[in-house]
Amino acid sequence: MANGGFVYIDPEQTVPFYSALLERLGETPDATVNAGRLSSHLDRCMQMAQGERGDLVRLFSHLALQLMRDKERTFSKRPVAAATALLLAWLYRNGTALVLEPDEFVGVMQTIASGGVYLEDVDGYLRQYMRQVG
Amino acid sequence: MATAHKVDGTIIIAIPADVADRFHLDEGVEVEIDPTEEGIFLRPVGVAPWFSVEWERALNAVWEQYGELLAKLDTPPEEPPVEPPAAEGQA
Repeated sequence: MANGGFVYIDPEQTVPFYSALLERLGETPDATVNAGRLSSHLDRCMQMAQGERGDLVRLFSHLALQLMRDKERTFSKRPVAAATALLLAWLYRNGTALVLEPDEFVGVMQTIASGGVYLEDVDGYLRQYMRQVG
Repeated sequence: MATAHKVDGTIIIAIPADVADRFHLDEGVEVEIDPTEEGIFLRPVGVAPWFSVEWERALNAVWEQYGELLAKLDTPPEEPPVEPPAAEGQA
């Protein structure tokens, strides 16, 4: 999975990331990140992706199912937006962007968050919209 | 860019407020000084994690692409208004 340039999500950096995101969303900063829970999700997803010899998109799909469906347990406010932004930023840091049409984006992310799809659906669908950046 | 000044035999550098804020550098914060081949690195010690430039750049890219849409993700999709049942005797 990991190569020389691979960057993973850093729970410590997630705190200022979340604060900056909430500020842009016009939210008050009275929100918290459950760092222990986040670390646990990150470790579990990495183990599952590595066990499948999965690539970046596979790992993204595992993370999307774990983090976007976690309601307010990891991110106490705006949990779906926070998980989505964090995962997209993480993709970007690894030279990849998810390029969806604006009218598709909200529906796709809300569908993943609502639990209506399986891992293979997420992987198979989003894979076709991944593009290299930088 | 900052300018170095000599005060009582010590070199003082004024760090711009926005840079200091970013790294949670305030009066009384201890700073680790690390001279290297590239220059002198200053690292505030015992402060909250600061937002890394790389992660901020990534957030900027995501925000530019999907900013307004991210705001809609935690809002349940709008359902069509339900017509109230007509009261008896009404058309």
